[in-house]
Amino acid sequence: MFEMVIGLETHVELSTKTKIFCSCTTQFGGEPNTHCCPICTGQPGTLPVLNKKAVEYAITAGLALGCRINRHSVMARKHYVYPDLSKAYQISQYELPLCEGGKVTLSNGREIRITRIHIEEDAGKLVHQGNMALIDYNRGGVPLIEIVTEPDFRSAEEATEYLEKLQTILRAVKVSDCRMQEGSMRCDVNLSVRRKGETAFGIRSEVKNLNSFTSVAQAIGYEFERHVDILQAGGTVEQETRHFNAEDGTTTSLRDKENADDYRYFPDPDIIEILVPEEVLHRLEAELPELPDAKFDRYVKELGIPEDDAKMLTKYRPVSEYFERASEGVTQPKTVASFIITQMFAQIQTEAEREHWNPDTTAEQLRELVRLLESGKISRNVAKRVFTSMLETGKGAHDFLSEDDLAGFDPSQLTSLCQKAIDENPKTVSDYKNGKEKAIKALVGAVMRATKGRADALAAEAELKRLIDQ
Amino acid sequence: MMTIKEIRKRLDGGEMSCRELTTAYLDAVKRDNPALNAYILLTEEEALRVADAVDARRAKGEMLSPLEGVPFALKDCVTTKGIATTCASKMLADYIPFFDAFIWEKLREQNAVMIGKGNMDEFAMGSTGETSYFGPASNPHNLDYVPGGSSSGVAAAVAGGLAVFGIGSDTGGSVRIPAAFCGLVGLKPTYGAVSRRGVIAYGSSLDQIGPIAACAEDAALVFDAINAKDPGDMTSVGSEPVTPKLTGSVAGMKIGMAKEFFEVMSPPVREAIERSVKLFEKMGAEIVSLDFPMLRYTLSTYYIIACAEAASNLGKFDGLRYGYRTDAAADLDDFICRTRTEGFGQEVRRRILLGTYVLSAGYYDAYYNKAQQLRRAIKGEFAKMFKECDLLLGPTVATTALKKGSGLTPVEMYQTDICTSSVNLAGLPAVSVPCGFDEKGLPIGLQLVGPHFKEDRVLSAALAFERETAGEYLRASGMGVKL
Amino acid sequence: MITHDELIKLTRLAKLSLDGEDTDALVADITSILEFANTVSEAVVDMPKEEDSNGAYNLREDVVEPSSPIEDILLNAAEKQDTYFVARKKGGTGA
Repeated sequence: MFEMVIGLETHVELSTKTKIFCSCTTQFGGEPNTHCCPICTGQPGTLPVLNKKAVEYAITAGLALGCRINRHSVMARKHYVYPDLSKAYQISQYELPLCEGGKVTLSNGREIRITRIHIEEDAGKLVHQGNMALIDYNRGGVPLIEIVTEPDFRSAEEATEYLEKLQTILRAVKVSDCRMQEGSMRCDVNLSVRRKGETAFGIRSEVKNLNSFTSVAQAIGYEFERHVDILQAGGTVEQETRHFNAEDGTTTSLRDKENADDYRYFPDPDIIEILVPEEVLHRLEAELPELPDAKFDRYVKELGIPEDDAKMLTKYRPVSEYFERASEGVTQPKTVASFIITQMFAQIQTEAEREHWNPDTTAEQLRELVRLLESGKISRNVAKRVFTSMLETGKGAHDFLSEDDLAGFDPSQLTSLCQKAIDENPKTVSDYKNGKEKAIKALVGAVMRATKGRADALAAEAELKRLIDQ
Repeated sequence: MMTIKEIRKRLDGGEMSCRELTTAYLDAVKRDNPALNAYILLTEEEALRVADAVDARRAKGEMLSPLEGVPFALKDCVTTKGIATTCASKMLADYIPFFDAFIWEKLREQNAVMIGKGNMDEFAMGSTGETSYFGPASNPHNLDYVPGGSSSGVAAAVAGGLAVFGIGSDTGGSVRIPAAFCGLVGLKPTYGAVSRRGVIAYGSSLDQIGPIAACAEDAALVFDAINAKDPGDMTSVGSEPVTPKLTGSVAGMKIGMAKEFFEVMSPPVREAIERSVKLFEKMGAEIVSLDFPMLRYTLSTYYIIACAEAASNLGKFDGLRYGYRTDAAADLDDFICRTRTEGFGQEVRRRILLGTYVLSAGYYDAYYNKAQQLRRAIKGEFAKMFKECDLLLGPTVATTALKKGSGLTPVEMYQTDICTSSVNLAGLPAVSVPCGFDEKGLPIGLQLVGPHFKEDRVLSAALAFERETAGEYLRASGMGVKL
Repeated sequence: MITHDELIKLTRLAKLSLDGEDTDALVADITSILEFANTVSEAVVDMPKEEDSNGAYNLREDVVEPSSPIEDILLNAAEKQDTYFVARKKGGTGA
């Protein structure tokens, strides 16, 4: 009888080479404070110089999420004091963010509205050591986008599906690697609870800095129950910011509304307002690759790939790129898809490996194999066997094809071979004619045996049916 | 007091070596700086190194750049790699930057000779030079009086013959006010004409670097040396050189005067300004009377915006990465609060509180937002006035220099900026040029304001005025170097 | 115009300490400055934000340049450990 209402704020690190306001590298690692300069350590007298790539990546993300782009956009200072913030303010956006008003559609058909996407700088890192906090500004100034949704989620599943989709989309347009474990994607959950049927929102709590899908789901589950318990006991939920404890899946209060920060936003006078030229916007629109949803539709509708396979292929940008490269000049791309899904995914199992997708077998090698198959030079069985060896060794198809395999099978012989099988197995034929569908498989088996497996089983089956039905 | 032209003549003509010249200035500083307190730091080694490099180039007969070998003073809010930069604050008393300001790079390219870092109001917050952690500088025309602020030290150095020119910063009048009080020419360029990279910020949307010099031509030469566009400052646009465009004539120009300024001027200033107006008419300018009703709101608008930006800019001083740190604290928050309270002087703390207040929840609209609206209205009034005239004329300051330790309240002190701060709000170029003395012999400054990027026009008018008065008001203080 | 309580709140927000301050004097001081600042409330203006603002697209290219030597980064830090800056959570002292 209670329903949860959730909005998400997701921070995503952009894959620029340099920081958002200085030319220091964004590379991970490095001794503490060695990827730093006067600007990102907040030395007096320094000025920020906005990275064009960060702006353009944010616009690309906005376009990919169906936002309208504010051609006139403003950077603002957000003030709070914490040792990992070198200037005592974070340069972010407040009024006039780069992107507003997008959406993501979930598999259940519900649309999640995106309120805004803005760019901002990341803070540094603190290492707690006894009485000391050790400060490393290497990550300070790495560009982020913050993607804010409307309170449109009604379950943890919706929230995690949205995050997965966000990940897929942002990876597809190459603006971020979105690795939650490494912190390049993290999420704040705003959750409130109301009785089903009510339209007003309840009082919300915010859980900060969740860095895995599991944490997001756990935090939502915990907060929902906490709110419901309070409401059922006749209490009122406090508007507050909470911290998620990954060890036991609980949340604890960080600060209440009374002690909420007063960020004192105002336009940053050091950064001239951003006016995105029309031609830049047009270029970014033109450069936008096919998005995962559109790709999925095309794979299913135009290439005839089963939905489940299409989903897997489009989930990982490098996999779909590999698939498309391997499919060039191939008559039946779904054959390529099937090799990738059944054989390659069986070997390459982790999310990280799939996201990196760097198999020893090249797309060109897979393409060659499929072409051998399509030309009828080898059979499906042979191809499967050969592909297994290719994946084990990284070698090409020809290294595993015996004289026999390649003796070739002249498709023009198929009709006479099939006729021969029909003639030699009258009982089986009459079984089939009497409605025993499976009987055809025995005839296919006979053709395959006769050709030592070189014939195409599917083609043989079709030919057998044609001949019998004649 | 020497001009750049005079220095050029001696160096280029071989009358003296740059080392001799530099040594003469360094000796004069050692003798007179205890009385003037113009310099926080004497950069002797750096000065002699550059001087020798200049002499080496002279020996080879190489072409020298316009400011080559010319001794100057640099306001101590400008970062100089390896050389202490303090902003005249306890907070930065030991701060050694490891990067250079754009203007310091430009002046070094020209082999100008930095004599030292100029005293100033702490973090440029003040109009008299008295908020300096290192004590106030003195006015060379009368040591009991302030030289004006916040660029107090460089003005005192130039007027006191301890530098040929100075580089100051001007947020609400900090170049023009000390120029007026010390009988010098001070140029506040158009916002964006000179890069702010490496200038420790006070009010970022108002701050602009400008020269303080003995005459308009010197100000033009120095401005031309530093006005390039800098990709390291997003608000920098640079400027065309103005020296070739100095006509030294106002014939046919329409010069506007806003009536509202007459209500604030003290009698001697008023007299000098009225006398000057007649001279401009005599030189062929037409005087147009204008209205500037927004003038009464400019000071509060200016202080709200400047302090909001200052509070934000000064948040970074927490003692963790650089700067002063407190001796004892209970916890990290206490450490930061004590560090800041002990490291900043009273006026700086006051402005941080005001700036924090006007940005805070519940007050933002009434103060900061309203001030931004007024700023646009003030810009609009200037634009309107410039439809009716080529230049605006008025006093730089309503009074002459104040006596040291005059004990004004903060709000009384803020009134010093009444004639200058509106120019910063509108981002316009303006020059203060000497136009008289009061009964105590203290200089009076006349302010000429131009439309954006018309530095050539304001400096031409200043030059015309200097010529018409035959340098009568460029009276030397009698202190400093004697060559 | 500003109360003691508001001053305490404001001081905390500005990260300043009131220790050793004459708070009565400071309240009077800030009140008079706020009165002065408040003259903006008398002005009647309705200036819309400029439509053709002075924005630009003069942004920096994404090209890595060497970072500063670590000795420079830590040059002015009073307390450091290895190549970290140090903040003390309790009893911070000048090092």
